[in-house]
Amino acid sequence: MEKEEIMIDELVRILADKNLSEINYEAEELKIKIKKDLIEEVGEEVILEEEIVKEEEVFEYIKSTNIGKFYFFDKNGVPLVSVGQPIKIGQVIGYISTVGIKTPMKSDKAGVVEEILLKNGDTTDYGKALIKIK
Amino acid sequence: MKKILIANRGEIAIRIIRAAKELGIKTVAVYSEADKDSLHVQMADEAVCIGAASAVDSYLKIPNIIAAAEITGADAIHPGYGFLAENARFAKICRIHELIYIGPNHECIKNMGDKATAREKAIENNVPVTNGTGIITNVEEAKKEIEERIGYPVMIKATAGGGGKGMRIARNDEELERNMVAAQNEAEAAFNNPDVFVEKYVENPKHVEIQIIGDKHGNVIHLGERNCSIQRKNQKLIEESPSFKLPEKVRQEMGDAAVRLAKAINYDSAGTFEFLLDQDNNFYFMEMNTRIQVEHTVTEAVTGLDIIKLQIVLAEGDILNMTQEDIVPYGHAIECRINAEDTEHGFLPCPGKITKYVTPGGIGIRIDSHTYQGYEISPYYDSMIGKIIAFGIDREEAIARMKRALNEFIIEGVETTIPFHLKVLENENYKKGNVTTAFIEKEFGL
Repeated sequence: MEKEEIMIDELVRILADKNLSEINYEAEELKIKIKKDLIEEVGEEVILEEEIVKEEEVFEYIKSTNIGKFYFFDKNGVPLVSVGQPIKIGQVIGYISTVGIKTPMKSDKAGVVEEILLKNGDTTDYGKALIKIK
Repeated sequence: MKKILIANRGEIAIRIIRAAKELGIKTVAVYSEADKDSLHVQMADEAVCIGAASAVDSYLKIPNIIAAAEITGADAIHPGYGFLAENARFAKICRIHELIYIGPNHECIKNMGDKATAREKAIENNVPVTNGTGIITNVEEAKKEIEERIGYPVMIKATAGGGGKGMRIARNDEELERNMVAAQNEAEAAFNNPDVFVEKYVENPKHVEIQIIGDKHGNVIHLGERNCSIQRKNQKLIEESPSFKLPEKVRQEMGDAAVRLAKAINYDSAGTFEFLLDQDNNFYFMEMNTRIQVEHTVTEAVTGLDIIKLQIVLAEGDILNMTQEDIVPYGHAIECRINAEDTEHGFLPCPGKITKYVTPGGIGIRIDSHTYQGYEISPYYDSMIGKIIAFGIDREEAIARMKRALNEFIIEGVETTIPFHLKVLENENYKKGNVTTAFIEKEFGL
């Protein structure tokens, strides 16, 4: 037991000195695994970053090229876009109404609608994200 | 008036926001994608992004500005200076959309914006102009007219011109032929209108301008004059009020001429008549600016009036509640335009990040600026950092204050025109008031 404790102390010292993250020691019947606490935290951070990167990669935004009220229902009350709907480049996804003129808003991206970020009739300025797609 | 949309950026947008705040009027800032971190966006009650960085896609895009007014419920638009400030079509569109345009009526902008028409109006109203021609259609006829009636040297001017564009001097027939084509090409490119005319060139003139203010009820007064002779390539660098070495009789005649012409054209806002003054103090009408000007601040300093606030209340239909006798300028004011420019290398614009910014202060100093530490001067627009206005009991005190302020001003990260301004202020001829529009060229070879 004493030998094991000495061995653990020694491995901890090596771990610290060499700035290692993990040591697996096996000899005869003795099996020791030493791991730094910090390592798990770093590991989590790395995973989080990966998730953020994934989100940015997956989602894109269709942004307004006009200023006015954004409508995504046609005159019969039928939505031009809905969540889960695939859309193509050039597809009309709504209208932006300004000074009584309705300008069709066409998608410059293709994908599947993840979220409509504005309510029907909300105002938008130039560059505002209207629809989240993936 | 409840809410003003400011169709501009930079220091003038902030100037207008401040005036509106004092009047208890809400403000809407518009901005391009390049200006999202600008101070006017933060200072206004609301802000609307109106387009991409290029001015053509944002600050000059009339439908986007009108749309921004609609979605915010703004009931008035102030155009500032530059961009759409002298665009008669924009003023008319505002009126069609029942938006109060804080500036003159669109007819005035149209008539005075066309230099040939403005000249005709001046002649009709006994305002002196230099000898000149109408729009030139044939260079041979122009040569004949110059020989018989005008005499060289002449200035070729674009009728749609402004900011020195489309202007060329000709000292003989050969130069006339050559420079007319150059002026026409430049005017076509800048204003989409190649029309030019010729005026007798006044050698070494002073640039003196009269600030006027009018209401919608036919009342017009002037707020005194400004001397803006310190120019480089027709761009003003330093402006002063009152004008130094101006005989009182001439001052009064210029003021009267400006008011007479403004009344004749039904001018109903703040505006400026620019005159050239020759060596014998004869003055000649040059052009009218139908908007607020950068240098309005020096007039404010010596009259104690807030010209932007006057513009706002008069646009609403208020009656001008002062007479010419009420205007008694006091003291002396100087404005220096501080630009991010490399004065050692042809005044080349230096866009970039301002890493350190400490403004001057103390008695008699006003700073109008949109800049702050960490602000990035965009390459898309003019390179102005701000304006220093120094007020003193007389010119000598104003110059001393301006020098103090320039020395106190710390701006790091970009080159500025501060060192050049200091050189001008130290110049003996400047101090004595021996200044014409040729001053910078003569004294500094620039």
